[in-house]
Amino acid sequence: MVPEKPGGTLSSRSHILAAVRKNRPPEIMRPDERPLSSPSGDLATSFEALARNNSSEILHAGPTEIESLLEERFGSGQRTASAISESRFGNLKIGPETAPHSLNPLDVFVCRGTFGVAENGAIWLAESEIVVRAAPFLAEHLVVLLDKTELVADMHDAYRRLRIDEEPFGLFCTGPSKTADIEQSLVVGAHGPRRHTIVLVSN
Amino acid sequence: MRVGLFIPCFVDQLKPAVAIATLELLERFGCDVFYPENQTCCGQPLANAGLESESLPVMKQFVSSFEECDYIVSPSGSCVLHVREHYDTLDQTDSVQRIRSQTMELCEFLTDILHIERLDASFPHRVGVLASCHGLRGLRLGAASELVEQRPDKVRNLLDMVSGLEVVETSRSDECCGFGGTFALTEDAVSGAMGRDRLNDFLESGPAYITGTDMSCLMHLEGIIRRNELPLRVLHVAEILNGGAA
Amino acid sequence: MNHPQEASVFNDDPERSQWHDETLWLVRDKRDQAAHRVGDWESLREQASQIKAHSLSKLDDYLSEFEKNAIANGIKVHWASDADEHNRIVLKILKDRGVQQLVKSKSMLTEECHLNPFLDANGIEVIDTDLGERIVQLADEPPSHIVMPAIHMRKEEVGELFHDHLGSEAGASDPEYLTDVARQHLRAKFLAADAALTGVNFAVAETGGFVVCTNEGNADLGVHLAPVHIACMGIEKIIPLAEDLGVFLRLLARSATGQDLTVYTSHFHSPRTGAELHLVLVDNGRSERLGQEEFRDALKCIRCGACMNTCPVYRRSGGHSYDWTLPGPLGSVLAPHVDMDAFSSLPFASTLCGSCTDVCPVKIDLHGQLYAWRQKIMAGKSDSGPPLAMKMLAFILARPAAFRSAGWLGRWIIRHTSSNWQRRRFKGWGASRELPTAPKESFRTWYLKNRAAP
Repeated sequence: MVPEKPGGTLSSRSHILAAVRKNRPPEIMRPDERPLSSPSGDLATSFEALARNNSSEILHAGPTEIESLLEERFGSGQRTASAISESRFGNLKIGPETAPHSLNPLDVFVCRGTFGVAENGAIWLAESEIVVRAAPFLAEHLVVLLDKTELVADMHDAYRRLRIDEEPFGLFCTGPSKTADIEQSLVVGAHGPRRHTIVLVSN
Repeated sequence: MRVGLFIPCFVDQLKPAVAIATLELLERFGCDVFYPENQTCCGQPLANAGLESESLPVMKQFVSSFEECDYIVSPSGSCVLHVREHYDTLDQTDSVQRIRSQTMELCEFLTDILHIERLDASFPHRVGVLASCHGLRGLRLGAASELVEQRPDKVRNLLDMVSGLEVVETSRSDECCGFGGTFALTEDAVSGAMGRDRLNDFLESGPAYITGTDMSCLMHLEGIIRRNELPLRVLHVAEILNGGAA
Repeated sequence: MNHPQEASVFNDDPERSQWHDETLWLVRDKRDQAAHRVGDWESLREQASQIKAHSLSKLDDYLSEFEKNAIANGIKVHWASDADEHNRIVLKILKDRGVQQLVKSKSMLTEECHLNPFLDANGIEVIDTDLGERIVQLADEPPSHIVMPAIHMRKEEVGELFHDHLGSEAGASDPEYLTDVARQHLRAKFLAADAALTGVNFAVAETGGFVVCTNEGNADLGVHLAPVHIACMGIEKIIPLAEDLGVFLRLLARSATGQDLTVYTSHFHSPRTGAELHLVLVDNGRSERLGQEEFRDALKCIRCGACMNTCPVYRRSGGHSYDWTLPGPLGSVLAPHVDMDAFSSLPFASTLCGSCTDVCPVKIDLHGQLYAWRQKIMAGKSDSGPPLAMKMLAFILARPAAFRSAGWLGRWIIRHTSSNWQRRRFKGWGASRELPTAPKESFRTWYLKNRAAP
């Protein structure tokens, strides 16, 4: 059945697929073993240590302390926003209709993370939790709230937990943006946020 | 144990002391050693220059010069690797297969076959070990620093049996010395830089000698040492293990 | 091009060459430390290698599956047979939408296709947004490393460059200051861009989505602001399952820079509301390489750059000495496919030390491929034949009597000539080294005298 022409020339598609089919080696099986996860002791300790290593700041808060913490620590910014519907934080209101350009400049952006990964200090940010894809990147300071029990050991566990196509976009984020492109000197704060705070929320 | 002695072409011609030390060492451990006098070269210099096909007569000459024995032992990691790995281009006759499976580097043979645990040798000097690449990464004589694995170091374990010998460490434990066969001639700028860097690394910990499994690497370093009048000498590991005649 | 010549020029400045070598060795060292913290590192490499090998053996099936799922997600999928077609497809997407300014994050594929000059010639302003890439773009130079494009430049040189092009302080060299200059400059470009182009680190057949990894956030800033996102990928970047990402992502950043993960690992399945997402699948010789048993494994490559960082020759000759899109061991096994004659010196720019093969996260036998290329290249010179010296060597080494005579003669010459004469006559060896001393007797002679039965 001839597929709907998506936008490239149909003949290139068939030429490429035909060439690949002709040249591919005899089937090699997938590896038998599924990678085991590597739980190494206390996930929270590992997560926090690695997150700090990535130049993230870690704060702890109880569920009722979040609002005041956000206001106290991050409320002074001129342009602030939050993707957390229950939160009053932020002087810019954002929603799925928000034009991303209108957010710039953005001093602080607060959102919820879904879970953290202990082996590298990363947090999964789903589109539904960040609402505006550009927001976590435009902000000078990104603040992520994470339930401190929502941690997996490593990336194998992360992908067992995630269905990556459940949302149209999502990312793992380990901390503030950085670069070492000039003489291998590490600079924290490249094009994305210069600061990254993780608020670990206990229940 | 009948052992055929496989002496690299350049060792036969330029560093016979290494071959003599290898022979004496094997004899000391009770091997019945013979040296097939019609051997010439394993063909590696040609093959590495892209002329493997031209080297077929050389490979065949090598195979035909080694009659039946238990093992073929050579004081050269790279030559041994070449025979084991690249003689697959020859017709895999019984002789070829036998030779490929029996050819071993000296430290490999002493460790894995003779299981040497004691050496009657003395060498009271500080020694730097050049972990030649083909022996290290090809024959896995030790653990390459880039791999995450534990593996015994056959060369160092033998050197540890030599009384008075102190192995010095270097900051880059197994970076290539820059010989690489014809590379030393065609890319002489980089080859020279690599050799000098290796020597400067050794000089930081100040050994009196540098040793290793491959005389080709050591001759390249020795050439730089002599050109720059550096306070270092090279000795093949066979010479040290055989009693340290310097 | 001639690698030895370029390498020689590079080493004419020993201070710079040493700085380059040490800087890249540091990255190798960081990689070692990160790898050693992962207990199952070697088994991960084996898994990654097998998943890639499996994927390549069913590449057409996975490409079809990927396309079907991507289209269902709302991604417009295009197919380009070669670099030209890729460039034309990208141009058409841009022109049809009146794009004048394009921001671009790192994509070695687009370097391979020479996209920038093509778009430039067709009236599209292309702004590379990765800091290293922007630096070399302003300097009008090609990148010298796939992960750290400007690794060959000193910070003072970057300071001068930014002063000239971006109006920053004269004489500045502080990386923090210079990065901030670039940040302000590029933030404006992100906001003004009409379209954004990215590479693809991994495309997942199972879900029809793809992953882009960066540290700077430049890929995301481009694509989440611009109304059009074009993602370009080589067809070999397909992986079968989402769970395979766990294996590759645990290896990628550690191998590249010694980080446990890049700062951003962005997963794209659908365009954002109101925007477009295009994906261009590019062959450009890959399907042909798939058919070459000796060389197909290079298609497993995940573009981490570890082979470059560990290569003692790359570190002491610099990326530009390879005169191709990709330098180092990887470049040396890929470039000869493009032009075996022109790039014939590259597979010989190596001692075959094997370190590249050991660090490759997908276990490509890089030095094995270099060796295989050497045979092909010399066979390809069949009209001129191997150099006379090598022919003579082959003759001598196959004949015991000839070998003995030649050996004796060589030793005699060494013993009867001066060091100075030797240095001049044997320039290759003699440039940095003394010739070895030569004994009167070969081992064979000694043996016959002292051991052989009379």
